[in-house]
Amino acid sequence: MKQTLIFAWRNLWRNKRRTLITISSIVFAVIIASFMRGMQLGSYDKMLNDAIKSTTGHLSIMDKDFWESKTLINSLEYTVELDSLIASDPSLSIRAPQISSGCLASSGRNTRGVLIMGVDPEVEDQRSGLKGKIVEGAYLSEEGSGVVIGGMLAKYLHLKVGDSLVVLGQGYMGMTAAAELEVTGIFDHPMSMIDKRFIYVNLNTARDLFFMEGRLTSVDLVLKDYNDLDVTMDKYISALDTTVYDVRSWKSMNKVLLQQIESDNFFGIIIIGILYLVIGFGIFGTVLMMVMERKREFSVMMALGLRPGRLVRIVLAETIMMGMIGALIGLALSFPVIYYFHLNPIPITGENAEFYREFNLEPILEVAIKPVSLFWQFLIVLILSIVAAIGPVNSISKFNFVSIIRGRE
Amino acid sequence: MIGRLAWRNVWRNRLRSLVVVLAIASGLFGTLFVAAISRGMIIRIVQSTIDNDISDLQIHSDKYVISEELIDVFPQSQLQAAIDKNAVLIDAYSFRVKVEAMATSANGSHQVTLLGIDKDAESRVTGIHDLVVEGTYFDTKTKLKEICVGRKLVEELEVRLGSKIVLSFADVEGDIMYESFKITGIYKSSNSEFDKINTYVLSDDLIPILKTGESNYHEAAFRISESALDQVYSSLHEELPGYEVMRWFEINKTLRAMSSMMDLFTFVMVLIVLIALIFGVINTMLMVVMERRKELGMLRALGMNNFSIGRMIVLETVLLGIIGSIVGNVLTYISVSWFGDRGIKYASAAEGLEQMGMGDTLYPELGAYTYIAITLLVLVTALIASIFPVRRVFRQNIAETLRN
Amino acid sequence: MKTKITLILAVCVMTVGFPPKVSAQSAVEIVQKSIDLINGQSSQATITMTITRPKYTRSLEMKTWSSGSDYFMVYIASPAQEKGQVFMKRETDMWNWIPKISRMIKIPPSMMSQSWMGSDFTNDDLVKVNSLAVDYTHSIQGEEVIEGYECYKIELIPTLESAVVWGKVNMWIAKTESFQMKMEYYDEDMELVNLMEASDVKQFGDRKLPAKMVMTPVKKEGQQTMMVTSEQTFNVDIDQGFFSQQNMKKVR
Repeated sequence: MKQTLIFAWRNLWRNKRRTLITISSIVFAVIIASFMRGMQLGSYDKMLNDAIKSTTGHLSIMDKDFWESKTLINSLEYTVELDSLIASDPSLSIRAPQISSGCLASSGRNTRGVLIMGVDPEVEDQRSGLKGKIVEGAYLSEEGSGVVIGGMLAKYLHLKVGDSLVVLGQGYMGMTAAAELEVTGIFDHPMSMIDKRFIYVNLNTARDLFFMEGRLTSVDLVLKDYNDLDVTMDKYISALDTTVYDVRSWKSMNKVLLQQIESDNFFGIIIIGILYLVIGFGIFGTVLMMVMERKREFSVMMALGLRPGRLVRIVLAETIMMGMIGALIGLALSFPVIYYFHLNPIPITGENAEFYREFNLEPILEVAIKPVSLFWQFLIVLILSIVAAIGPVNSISKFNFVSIIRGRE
Repeated sequence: MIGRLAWRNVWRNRLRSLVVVLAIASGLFGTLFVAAISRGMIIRIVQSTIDNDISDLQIHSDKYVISEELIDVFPQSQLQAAIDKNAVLIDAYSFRVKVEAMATSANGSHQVTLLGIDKDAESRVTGIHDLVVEGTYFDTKTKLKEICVGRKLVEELEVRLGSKIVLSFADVEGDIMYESFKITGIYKSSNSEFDKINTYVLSDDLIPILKTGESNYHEAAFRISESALDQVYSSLHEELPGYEVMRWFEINKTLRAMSSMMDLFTFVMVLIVLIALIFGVINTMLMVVMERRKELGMLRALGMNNFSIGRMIVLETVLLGIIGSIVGNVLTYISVSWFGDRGIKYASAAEGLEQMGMGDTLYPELGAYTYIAITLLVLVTALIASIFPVRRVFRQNIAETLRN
Repeated sequence: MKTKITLILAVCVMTVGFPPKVSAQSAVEIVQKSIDLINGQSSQATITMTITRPKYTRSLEMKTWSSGSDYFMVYIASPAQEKGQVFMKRETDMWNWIPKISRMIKIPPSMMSQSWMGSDFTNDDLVKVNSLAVDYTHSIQGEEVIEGYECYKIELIPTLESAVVWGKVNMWIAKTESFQMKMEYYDEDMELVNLMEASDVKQFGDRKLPAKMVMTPVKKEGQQTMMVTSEQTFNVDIDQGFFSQQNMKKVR
């Protein structure tokens, strides 16, 4: 065994060029695979962070009956304890208390069913970039009882900045909620549902309108690191009385996003599988040619008495060594490559950049640094190389070395 | 002469040729299949939205676009001339009346969009008639007015086929009308949100109730092929001042965004696979050239100069590239057809995806344009990838030969 | 002479042999009578509505005016947050005056099937007063005693074209007094959805009526709405002019 390894090692360095070519195949393979996976994982990260941030948040605290029946009757009492629990949690990047309810908005002869979102203006802007979407008038402020509405709703109700609209609905305990509110700003939102039917007000306005003193429909929480999801969720579940409160994760609130990510992952795995296929063939080709190139050398060795089986083991050892060296170098080089792109993500330009911004996603191609994933690429490419090499290496035992030496092959 | 040499070289060493062909074919297959899958995904959403919901082009009166009020109908006659002018390019069209209504049953109520259609014209424009899973598409004998609703709405209202539901809406004078309809058809599209909201009745039944006037409609929808779309759009836009003519991507801006973002992602993935291919080919070709040192040395001894030898090798690569592309294209075509029919089912439950309009299976699809474009790309890449090793090894060969 | 005697005899037999009994009334007449009893030509009333929910109970006091089945007005007297609101029905239209914001709103179709003031009645229920007589075919199914009153049990099946969501309605109407004592609303699958029970018969003006009515949505736990009439007078002097948007703002 030791002999085999020594021979293999010496063979490697006898023809440096050949060895380097084969090793470089594998190095590039690892780097490319790492980069692709890094990009895929980067885009999921982006979705898990940006998309979740602006829709449901990673976690949401609500009344235990609220999810099934989203009426104000099922609103939660925002106690001092709950407030301090949330305020003191360092793993949260955004805390978004909300009061939301459907009602009628009317102006002149026109009436439309809308959704009133009572929010903290600063927090909402952090989540969805609403302030930047204002095209006329001004954004919400903490004081006052103004509303901001979408362009399409403004058109339908014939409203300009400064006009007032009437909202009518049912408040907590079925009390009639009615108010005349001034339009302070009009926004342009790419999602037509929001542009047509959402009205934003500050929390105080919503509280007064719906008789929701000390109450909220939910508190949405955004984590700094989405990996903290399970830990944080457990923390809240144990800290809060679950006969009163419900702590929901985005996974149960936004099944569409969850399945979108899962299907993207599925799709991503198919793609990287295809990449492995291409890499595999590349390595197969390289090793096959290497074997072909050394036909004469092998035949001479066999003529000198080296048994075919032994030769195969030596060449196999060579391949494995090259594989390991290549994969290790590849792994080592992957780190700086990925790190570079992580810090300097590739920007998206043109029309696509516009689309990304509209959905409140940064227009960049993110690359994620995940050491575990890099290690997997290292391992898979290594195994792939060895498997791809087996065929060509085995064919050595079938050489007719006499013909080869005689130059007839 | 070099050409013939090149051709014979290719066939002489079949194993070597096979290796290069395989490398190129696999690269081609790889990139094409990636493109097929992502196209399949986006087509599903975009196309099904166009097929069943928004069509390729829609026309409304200017006022209606903003007000969405019943009174803002247009007379069919005003549009007919413009339509007839473009008759050759328009595949199908239909007219509809539209009203927001409340659908109620004993157990629930839900806001819906009530569409009064001409059942024959409509079946040429949307695919609803094909999506009927229970009952018929306006072909049931009943004394009541027929309505075709989505499966999701049926679940919301806790009713079934044959149930009577009441729709309430305001007529053109603002009076509230209550009308009962019998559910004679239930459809299911790949988008459950769509199914909850869109309900269909015969315009002959709806127009008298709305009192909007015979042959007056709110909406005209068209099916037009991609190549003719812009032309028809311009023509209609010109012929019909006072009307808003919108193409599908103007009606639903998110579709275009999704399509575009998907294209971007595909491009990036294809690029990465191409890079892998380059390295694979470079290394393989380096090995090939090294393996043929003796043979090439002999050719030089026979008087061929480096340049000609270089050209011969490049020519061989071109030939191999062509063979590789044929193999790759055939392989791709077979896989895409096979999977395209059967579809690749997602592992997890499809509920969320149905909300997005994606259904629960992935059908890869590829257009001729993509085949050609990517094949050319791969060929050029392989070619470029083969030139460098050839040049480098030559320079070293000369040095070696001189030393020897 | 013989024919004359036969004729007189025949008439006697008919009047003696077949005394006009209440059971000769058709089912639809019984139902119509019970509706007319509640409405009268016109009426004015004071009612307390108590809404019970799992998480709270709420009470409202209101004054109502009606004329026939086409005109109806409600003034909310308490609690303070709701005081001053007025609802008016004119034929099939419903209007809502909200003094807090000085606005008059016409209730759109999308709101008609929503609950009225958070109760278990919908806006529709207030508007379609005569529906039970007009939209159904009626048949007497038997007799039962409810709250000490002998009642006809009448089964109402919606007519084919009627815009009604129920699969069937059962009514228990007192035979002599024509009170609506109990009603059951079934969906298409003949599952009970709503139950109405009346009790506490009192004298109101020129007639007797149950003062208390409880509506229970059977499928929803812990919910019900109770209407208790404390005062009611009938055939009061109200003309159609009373039912106007102007008057909604003035009425108290």
